[in-house]
Amino acid sequence: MNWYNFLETLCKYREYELTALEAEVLMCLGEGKCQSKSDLLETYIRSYSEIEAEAFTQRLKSIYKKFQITGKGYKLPQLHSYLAEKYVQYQNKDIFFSEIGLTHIYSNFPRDTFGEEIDRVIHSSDQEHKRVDILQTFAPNLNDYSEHLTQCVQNDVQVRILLAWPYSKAAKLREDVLRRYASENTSPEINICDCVIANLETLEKIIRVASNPKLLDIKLYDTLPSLAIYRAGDYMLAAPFLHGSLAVNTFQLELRLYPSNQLIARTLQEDFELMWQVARPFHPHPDRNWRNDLKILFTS
Amino acid sequence: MMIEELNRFEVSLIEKFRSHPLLTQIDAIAWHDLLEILIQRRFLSLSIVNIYEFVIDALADQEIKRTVRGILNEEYPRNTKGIPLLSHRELLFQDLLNLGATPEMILAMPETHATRAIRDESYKLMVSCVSEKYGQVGLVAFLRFWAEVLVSVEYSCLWQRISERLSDGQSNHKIRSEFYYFHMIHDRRSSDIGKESFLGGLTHAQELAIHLQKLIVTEDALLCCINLEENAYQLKCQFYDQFISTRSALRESLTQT
Repeated sequence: MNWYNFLETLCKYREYELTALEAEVLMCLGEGKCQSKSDLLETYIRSYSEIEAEAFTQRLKSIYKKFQITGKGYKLPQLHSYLAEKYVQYQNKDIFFSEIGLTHIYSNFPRDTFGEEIDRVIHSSDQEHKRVDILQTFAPNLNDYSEHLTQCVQNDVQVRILLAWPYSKAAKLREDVLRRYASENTSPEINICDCVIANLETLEKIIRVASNPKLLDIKLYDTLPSLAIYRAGDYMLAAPFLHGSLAVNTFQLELRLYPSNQLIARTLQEDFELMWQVARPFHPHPDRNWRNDLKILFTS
Repeated sequence: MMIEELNRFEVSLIEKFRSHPLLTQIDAIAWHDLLEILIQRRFLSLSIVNIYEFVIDALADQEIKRTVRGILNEEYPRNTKGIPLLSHRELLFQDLLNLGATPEMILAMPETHATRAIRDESYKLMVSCVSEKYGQVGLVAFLRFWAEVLVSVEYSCLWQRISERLSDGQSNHKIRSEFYYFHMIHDRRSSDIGKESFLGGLTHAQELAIHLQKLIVTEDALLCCINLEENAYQLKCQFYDQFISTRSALRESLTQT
């Protein structure tokens, strides 16, 4: 990524809300030493079109405002050094990422890391952080966290599990897609209905040993989410449901919630809450023949 | 147009069935008699596996077979480790016990001639489909109406009494019905054919309706379907007729109301 690609990306970044004409001005800034205003104007006229000096100044002022360049003295060098700093961050793959809370991208689900994050939540004294949320069609890795989740409900952590209703057409559609297109990591015989029920059997075991099963909330949905979400406190992993693989076998966006720019973190949290509202509660109680309840969950 | 005609027919047939004198006056039946009806009704429930097996073997379409097989396999559920759970037959037995029947009453009650005749006649109807031009439609139509749609209607009428002793799971005071309630819900005709929603779930009746709609491509296929549904209705009526015509005590209790 060179300087001009960087400027181009920046111009498209919605937060700054640059107009097309302002973007043209920005694209005239050189990478090295900051030009004088008259040199910049000259570059502009050469690259784009004639413009009155006054009009050019107005555009620059608007750009300063949008980039919040408010220091005393000449603003153009301040703008340049601001951009230069961003460019370095960008080259370090840090720009925007930290602002939106994106801390890492894994090639597949980081099993141990998520386990450690749950442990952190279990031992946290901040009640706000004592929550674990999982949104999946079915969670192929739920057994990995069976012990963690048991400890959660024994240590005052609110756990919410949101899975597909196994008899929904949406679950069947996902199954058909995986059977047809998924890579060698996924069985061509994958049966989502059985996989969700296996998750519910795992949760049933947790309910059996948990002292306070009310802390384990389970809901099922009959729609098609596009991302899998695993959240522990302010830590979140989000992965897309691709045609070619299970969500746990594809790249995972690691996010910290509550960053300065809430674009992604809040959107994902809000969508989780929306799904949580429309999904239907289901409790695989060990003493109950819950498979019958499961079958009619959305038909009654 | 054909499907609309079928939907109208089905709705009117269900209404007619609901107005069977025994079902409309179910409140007037003594508990002991009600238990006898339910125990006798169990012979039809037990025969359902054979009905399903017959249809699977007689169907040509692999997709429909898969649906029918899926419904049949629900009769014998297993957990995901492959361990068998209580079958629907066992759950029926359990519901009958919880309603007040004794194991002896359930196990020793003989099947009546009328019930036996209904089972034989049902079987013959399916056999007759095998050589029919629209036999495939007939089989799906019969299975859906006899083993799902009307079953749910029967249980919803009987539920008025069953719910005196068993609950739908919402009450802490009564034992939960594990058989009648769930079949009442997941067998029922919960929408017109062709109006199944993408979201939410499909009942058994709806799962079969989706196939039925695809098979009804001509007026003759429609007529075959209507004919088989009418026959299924007649057979179910005959089952309840026997308790009015053969049992004077029951007849009296019904006529007094």
